[in-house]
Amino acid sequence: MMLGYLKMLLISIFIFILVCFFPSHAQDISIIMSEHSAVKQLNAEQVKRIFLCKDRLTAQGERWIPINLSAHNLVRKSMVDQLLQFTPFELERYWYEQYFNGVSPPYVLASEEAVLRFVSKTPNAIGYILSCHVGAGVKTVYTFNDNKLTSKLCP
Amino acid sequence: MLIILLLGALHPVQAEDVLPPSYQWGRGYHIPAYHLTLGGYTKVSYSSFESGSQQAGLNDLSLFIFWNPLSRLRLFSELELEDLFTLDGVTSFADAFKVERLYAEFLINNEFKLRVGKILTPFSRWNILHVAALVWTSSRPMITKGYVVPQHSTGLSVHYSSSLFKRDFNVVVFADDSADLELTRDEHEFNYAFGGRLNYQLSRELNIGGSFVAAQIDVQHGVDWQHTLGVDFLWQKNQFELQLESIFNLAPNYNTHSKYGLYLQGVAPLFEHVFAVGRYEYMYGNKNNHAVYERSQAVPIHVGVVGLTWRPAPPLALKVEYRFGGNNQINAPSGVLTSIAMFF
Repeated sequence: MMLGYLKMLLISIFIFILVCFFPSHAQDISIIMSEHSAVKQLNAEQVKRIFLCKDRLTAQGERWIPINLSAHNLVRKSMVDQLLQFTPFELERYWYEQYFNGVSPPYVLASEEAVLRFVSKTPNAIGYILSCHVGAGVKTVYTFNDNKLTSKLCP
Repeated sequence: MLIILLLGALHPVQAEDVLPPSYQWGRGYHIPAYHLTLGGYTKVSYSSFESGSQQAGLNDLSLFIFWNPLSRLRLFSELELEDLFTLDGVTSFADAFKVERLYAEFLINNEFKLRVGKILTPFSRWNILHVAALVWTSSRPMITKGYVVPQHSTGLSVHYSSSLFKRDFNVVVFADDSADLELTRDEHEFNYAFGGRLNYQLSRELNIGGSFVAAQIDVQHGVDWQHTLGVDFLWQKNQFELQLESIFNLAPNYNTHSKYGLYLQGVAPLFEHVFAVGRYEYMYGNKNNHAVYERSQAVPIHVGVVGLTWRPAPPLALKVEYRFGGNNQINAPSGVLTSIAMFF
């Protein structure tokens, strides 16, 4: 009996040490806009409303152009799960409801490189990529973290 | 024609030229350079009633056109061919053609927008999202059929949409002048009306709503001003769903009766893409004709619906249901109803 408790205690200590010294490589995801954009920072709620097309105008009264990655992209799945807080089933229904009301979902680009290129050239375009892929021509307006994404996605 | 001329006049936004037009099943054909989308939905059905009668046909063929020519302006139309083909034959284009919705929307800011034109009456939950590919049954609940509150409103509406305690909060108020502005006459419609709707997302799973409308409507011997109140909720979690709507329509005078009713609908996932649906409906109204309000003819009407919905792909829904009840022969006859509905 005593030996059993001791064994459990040792396993717990071992797990604790593993967690402390080998932290999971959680990935940061950046919401990006053109470096020339007047927007300095956005909060989670603002980003959520822009990507759900609930907020359609920038502070200057111009239209937001949100850009999605393809449905099977891991970064998009993270965006939907962590930031939009929808299940895939809920999001599908949401966009069909919007379609019925004349609202199209964000345009889809095939890769993070394409998002980076498009956002850097397009005023009021807003996209999301892994923070490690943020490059010239864009700035980060919001960052969030997903510890389910592995470090293999970054060089 | 007007759209083509305007498209020609408006030069597309340069940076967005790089986004090519694309078609996605269930989301329409989208031309980003012009902020234009063409799409729609269709529904075919077959029903066999216990009275021996049958109905089948192409019930809906709807075309959406939505266009954002300017950042603050959106034009939307839903043009429909209703019951174009039935067991009785082919309906003439003129009889089948309906303008379901046609409006211009002006964004004042991200919270407020103004709509001018024909919209779905913002009363209750079903009516504003009644599209066959989204709803779970082939049949509409009795209280949403437009006998009490007409399905369309033509006039002006103001929409407020924002977050309250990080939850969605939406308000709509509208004023209707269908008597002067309506493009195609419906069977049941307002002459004049005003009203509003409020919806609040109480939690991630639960939405609650309330609606009110005061309307002048044609009745058997003249016109009546009617006042109707509605309360509803929608709960959704892990693909389970529970939805309730109730209405109370105050009798306009002593010789007429108040109408009230509700439905409670539950949806449960059975296995992949297949859902079980059950609904109970109650209505205190006229068993022969809902448009007649004579006090002496009022009876309680009960309806039950049990069915299955298969969604093999998100834009497509195949439904089969059995409907039964008491005093329901005219308004919701017992029998088997089936349909296939699809966004395109």
